[in-house]
Amino acid sequence: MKASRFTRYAAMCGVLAGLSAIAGGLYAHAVQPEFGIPGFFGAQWDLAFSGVGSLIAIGVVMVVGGVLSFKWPSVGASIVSVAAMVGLAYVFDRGQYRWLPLLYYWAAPWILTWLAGIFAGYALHERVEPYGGEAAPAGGQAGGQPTAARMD
Amino acid sequence: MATGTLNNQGLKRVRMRLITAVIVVFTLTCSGSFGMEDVVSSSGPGFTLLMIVILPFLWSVPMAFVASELASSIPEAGGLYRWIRRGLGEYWSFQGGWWWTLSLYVDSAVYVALALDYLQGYYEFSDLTRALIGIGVVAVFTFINIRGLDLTGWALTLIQIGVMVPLVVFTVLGLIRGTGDPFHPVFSGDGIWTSLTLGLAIMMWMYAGWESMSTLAGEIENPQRIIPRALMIGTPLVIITYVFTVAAAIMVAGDGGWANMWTGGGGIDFVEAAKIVGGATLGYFMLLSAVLSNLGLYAGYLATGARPAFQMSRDRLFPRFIGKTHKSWGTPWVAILIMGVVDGVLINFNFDALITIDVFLLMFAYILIFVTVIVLRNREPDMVRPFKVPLPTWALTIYVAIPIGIAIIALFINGIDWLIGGLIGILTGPVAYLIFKSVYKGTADEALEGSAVTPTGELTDFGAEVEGARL
Repeated sequence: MKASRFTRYAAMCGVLAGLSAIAGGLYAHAVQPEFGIPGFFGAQWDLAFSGVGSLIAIGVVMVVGGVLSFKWPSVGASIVSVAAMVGLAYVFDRGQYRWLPLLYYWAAPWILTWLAGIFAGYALHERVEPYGGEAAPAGGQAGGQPTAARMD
Repeated sequence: MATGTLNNQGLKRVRMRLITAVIVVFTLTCSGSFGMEDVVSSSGPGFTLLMIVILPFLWSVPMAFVASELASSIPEAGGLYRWIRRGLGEYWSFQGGWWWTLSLYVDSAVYVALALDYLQGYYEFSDLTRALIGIGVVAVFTFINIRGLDLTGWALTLIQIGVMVPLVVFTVLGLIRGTGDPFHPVFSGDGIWTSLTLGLAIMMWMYAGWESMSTLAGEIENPQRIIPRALMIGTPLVIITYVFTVAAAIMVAGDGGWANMWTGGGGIDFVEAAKIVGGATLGYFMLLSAVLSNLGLYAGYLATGARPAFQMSRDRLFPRFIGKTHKSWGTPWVAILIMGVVDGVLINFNFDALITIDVFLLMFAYILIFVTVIVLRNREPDMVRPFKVPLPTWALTIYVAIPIGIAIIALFINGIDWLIGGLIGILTGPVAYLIFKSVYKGTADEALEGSAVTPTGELTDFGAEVEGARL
């Protein structure tokens, strides 16, 4: 498969990951206006630092990363992946206030982010000429298969 | 290939006797039964013993078989990383190598921390003393590993003698003098599902590590023969060790005492059980055994954990300096040293958050290994396999589907912290590949350094023409 096709897949997955995070945030806000953790940065529920806020803000960053992937798949997919990691860390690092419902909203973005990284990796593998030869298919045969000429 | 010659990666192959190889495997997969106490109180005594007997055939025997087949046909430094490369290509091999290495970096530090916890609990020394002892331990084992596998093998042999002698004495005394029924009750009281989920995660951990020795293949003479044999001998040895030691501990705990079996103080662990059945002296030696068990695990995983990073560097997917070998000792000293330094730092901090990525990453790497063996069976049916799992490919596919299923279950039963940490850890793989591949470019398949097995089962080197390689 051509590198350009992998690039497109990576970008689309990145954009979809971001959109799914944003959609998750909007849905959460719709069904439960104060979705998030009351008092995380103060006594009152704060939209900016709530579960809704994190999903939408990080989702926007992921969409930007996905769009960048069309031109620079490595940079774009890295932005998408790091953003997803931050989002998950936000769920994780809440001490006793860790809020599990937020994790469910990250399921679809996580899978799409992982796919974006995989496709970006395949695209990079196709584009970069490795040491000692031309680029080989990413999913093709690889690894120390010796030929007769190489065997001592 | 004569002992002491440097192969085309600058690694020196040492002659490892089968008994030493078995001890290495035993260290990496068992090293005593410390930690099993928690399974007993979580799952119930009968079910614990049942899991000890049954789980290996669903979890560790498949991995031991698969590791034997792959290690015999692709006996290269970095082991599993190179297997996956051969089967699934560069991208997935990097992922497998990265996840496995990341997991081992954290995992190995845990063992030193546990050994220090045991000592500090007993001798009650200060945190500063703890830190100094920890750094000293890491430094000693780092040097031993850099010095070579022959010295590492000797160290592990001595350590396992220190681990097993008290355990054997305890087991004999426990089986004779113990009064508890090791099979009653079967479950802990909350039914089979609760017993299973609570105990399975720990039990899987206790039965892991069969793939680890393969990473040393570049530094052992005839690895294609030694490693499979060691794995086949080590498997029943580990099962027997667990069955008898745990049964003895349950019996020593007495009627109903199993419910109080746990590690970490306050419960009946192996040390307390040894005091009950053999007095303070046996208790002291059991403490020593527990400390040595963890140090053995550390020494073993320091050896195996550093090799994939070395090989990935040689394959131009990691910084080049990590792939340097020692001119005289023929070991990947930079990779080992880096792991030692990381461990030396980690043990002095609370790295609970890092541990949460551990299981998840390892399980994903395991799944890649199982997929690899099936892909290679189908794509390279004529590949030289000095050891071949005695199953046709379709049956092997069904057989490895079982541990893959268990691995997937394990992702979700370890707790929510582990799930979130693992999900974050998995995403580091693609990012790392994108960075390192962009910077270092990788190596084409036809230019890889390594070893191959000839149709007669001998080992040959190839790739010597690669820049930087030495003969």
